[in-house]
Amino acid sequence: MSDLGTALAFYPLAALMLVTGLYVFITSSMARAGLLLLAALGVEGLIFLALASEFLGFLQLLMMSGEMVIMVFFMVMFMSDPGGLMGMDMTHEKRRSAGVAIALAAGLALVAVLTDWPARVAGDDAPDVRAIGFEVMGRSMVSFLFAAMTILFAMVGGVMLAKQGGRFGIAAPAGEERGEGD
Amino acid sequence: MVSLEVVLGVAAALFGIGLYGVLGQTNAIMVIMGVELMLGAAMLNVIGFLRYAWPDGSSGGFFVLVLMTLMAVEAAVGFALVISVFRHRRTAEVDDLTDLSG
Amino acid sequence: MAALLWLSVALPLLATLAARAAPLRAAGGVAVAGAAAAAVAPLVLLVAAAGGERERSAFEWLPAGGLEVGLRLDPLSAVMAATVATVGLVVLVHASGYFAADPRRRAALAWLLAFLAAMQGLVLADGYLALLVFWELVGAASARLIAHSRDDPAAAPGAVRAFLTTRGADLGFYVALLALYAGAGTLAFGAERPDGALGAVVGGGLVLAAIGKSAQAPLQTWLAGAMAGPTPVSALLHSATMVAAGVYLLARSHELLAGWPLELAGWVGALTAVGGAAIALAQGELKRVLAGSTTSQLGLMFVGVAAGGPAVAVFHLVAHAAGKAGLFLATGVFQRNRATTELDGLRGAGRDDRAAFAGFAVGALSIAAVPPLAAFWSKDHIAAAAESEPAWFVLVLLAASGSAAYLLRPALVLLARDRAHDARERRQLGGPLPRRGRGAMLAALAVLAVASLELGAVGAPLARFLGEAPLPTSTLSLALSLLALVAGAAAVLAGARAPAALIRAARRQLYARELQRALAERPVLAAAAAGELLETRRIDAAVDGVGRRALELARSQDWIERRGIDAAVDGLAALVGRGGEHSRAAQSGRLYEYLRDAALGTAAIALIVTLTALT
Repeated sequence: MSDLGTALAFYPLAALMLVTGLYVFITSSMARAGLLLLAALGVEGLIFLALASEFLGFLQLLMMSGEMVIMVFFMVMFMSDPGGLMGMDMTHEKRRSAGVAIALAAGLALVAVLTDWPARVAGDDAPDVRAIGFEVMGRSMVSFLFAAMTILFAMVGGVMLAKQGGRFGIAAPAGEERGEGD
Repeated sequence: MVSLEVVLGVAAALFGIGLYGVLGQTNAIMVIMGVELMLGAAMLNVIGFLRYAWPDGSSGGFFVLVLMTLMAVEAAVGFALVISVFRHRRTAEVDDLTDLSG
Repeated sequence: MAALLWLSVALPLLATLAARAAPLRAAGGVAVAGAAAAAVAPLVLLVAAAGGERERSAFEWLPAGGLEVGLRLDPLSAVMAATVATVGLVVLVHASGYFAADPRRRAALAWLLAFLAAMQGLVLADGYLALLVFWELVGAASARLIAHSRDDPAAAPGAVRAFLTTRGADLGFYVALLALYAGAGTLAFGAERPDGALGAVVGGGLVLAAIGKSAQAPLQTWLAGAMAGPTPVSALLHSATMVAAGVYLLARSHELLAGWPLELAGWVGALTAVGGAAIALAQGELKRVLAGSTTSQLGLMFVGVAAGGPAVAVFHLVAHAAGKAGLFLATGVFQRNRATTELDGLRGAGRDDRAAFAGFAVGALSIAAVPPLAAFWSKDHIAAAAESEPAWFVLVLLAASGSAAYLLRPALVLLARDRAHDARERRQLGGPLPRRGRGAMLAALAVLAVASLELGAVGAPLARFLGEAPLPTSTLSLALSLLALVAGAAAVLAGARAPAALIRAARRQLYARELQRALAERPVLAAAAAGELLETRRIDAAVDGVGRRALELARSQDWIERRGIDAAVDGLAALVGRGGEHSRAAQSGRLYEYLRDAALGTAAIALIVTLTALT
């Protein structure tokens, strides 16, 4: 894409992403928070597309959608007021955390601005799918394997953690059942 | 028009928002959401680098792939933990989970 | 010969043990037998010495220093030993009768014999060291004997006073010996008196010791107190032997003390002769009269040594021993008859007991120097010798008249016819005189009476024996002595009375006791009080002060410790604790807070990196 086009796409999308991201934490409804997060990360995917990383952009959109839906499920399961109708405040230490966040963001931005980034090496094409594929199967095979194993462990571990009765298969006490059914 | 610094700045802002969520939210699931946003910011950084500095960095693309995986995995494990905690403690509020206090 | 010397001392000592261990009924007999056995050796020694034997037997006490303790046989010691032995035997015979009714008589007889042993040692001693040893032993025995009676409240104080006075005077003896040894290097008889200050110490010390032992003024008060002892003790110790030891010391040291020490002794003796006579005249108790008389006669002996030489004094010593002991023994008989020695209580006792009075009369005549009795001759020699010193001569004559007076007075009391008393006495005693022990007492008395009659002849042989010039005589002194005698007797018969002040002074021992108190007691007590004050105020206070300071120091240290150091340490600990508590708050268990801190840290790192990268 041309510079102008990139700019035209990027700035609005960036603003949208930031706003929705912020609203994730402002809203008091869990469902809306999840959906807003979906929106933010989805827009991020679009930004990827705008920055000429098509594969990764689509990948982002794909993954995020599935992920966020699951997240909404969980929210409904575990929260007392998923709809947010009672207007409960789920935050704590708003000012301090905001301050820290702003400070860190400012610091990072400062680093970004002040660093002398090297000029673009050659060509203006982002790597395409083929390159990534070759990368995965070639140079980064070990990393990919490890990533795969990590996923496996995560899956197994997650199931174990979430399983009723924990690791040893012991039936949960009555209180737990009641809690679960709440 | 859009330079690397801008992208990095936006990513920094997104990171800040995510951090605000992590620090400021009481529910564990909201904290996980904040982490998602932070990871998203990291990804945006890498994409920016790919676009404006190292277009041949296919390892960069792989890195983004890994990050995405990480997001998913982390969310899954995190939710499993929340379920477990909720079973035992009947709460998912971060403020109640202070067993590691000195 | 040496064996005989040591036997003279050892036999009485063995007799002491025998008398102590003997059964009560036989104690008197055992004691007399012991004294008789003990008298054999000295008499043999006398005979041997008269035959020309001389002997010395010693054992080296400190060979390197030339100090030895031993006994010697020479004319003077032989005469003294024989006198002591015979008088001792006679008195012990008397004592066996005197103590016939006393259940504690074994102790008294034993101590009398022990005293005899010590006295023999004294007169036979060879060298001043041995002399001093026996001198002190004699003093100790004397004190114990005076304190024999447990019923008489005056016995113990009398003994203490006797002991302290003589012991105090003995300090002179000790100091003199130290000076003599330092100056002459030896303590043997015949040593020369050192020059200068040492010689002065020697002379003064020995004269002081003699004054104390012989009860001369101003130390004569102890003899009156010593009369609280039993009468045999008074007879043996305080008339014949122990008090004569002072005279013996002067006689023995005649060359050593030549010059001003003998002069001093002579003056002291002369003054005491008159003073003692005055005291004797004022007493109301027979034994105190005799004590004053003893003091006076010893004073005469001092004059004799100073003016005429040892032989004059020794002759009078022997004659006086016989006469005074006889007087005391007679007093003992009267004491048994009337159970008192107060002159008021003895009124007419002579009439009731003619035998005892006979003995008393003989002794009195002798001491009063009535010719031809023994002491007349000896006193005449003294008077003749004193002619060279007019003042002494006058004093001697005064003493002579005084002796006549103070003996006539009690004699008259004894002979007094008191009708009321006769009737009273007949009612109380109911007839004859007490029989118990009377025979022994009278027998002893008889022996001494005979001695007083006969001893006058001993004078010239004695002088020859002692190797001296014939004893001095002079018609002037003879005439004046007789005149003084008659004057004294006449004064008493006429009933003359001395001024009241004089009588008062005589009754109070011529204020000698007050003098002692002022000169000796008060300063010593004041020094002791001052010392005590120094101790309690200064030294004790200083010690207490040190203690208090230490305590204060400890308290301040403790304060520093508690307030300062402990507070600092505790404060530090509290600080650390508080710091820990505060930092513990950081670990709240809230993960978001940990993350927040991590984020802040990251921001800081980023800043630093940027800034360093920029520069």
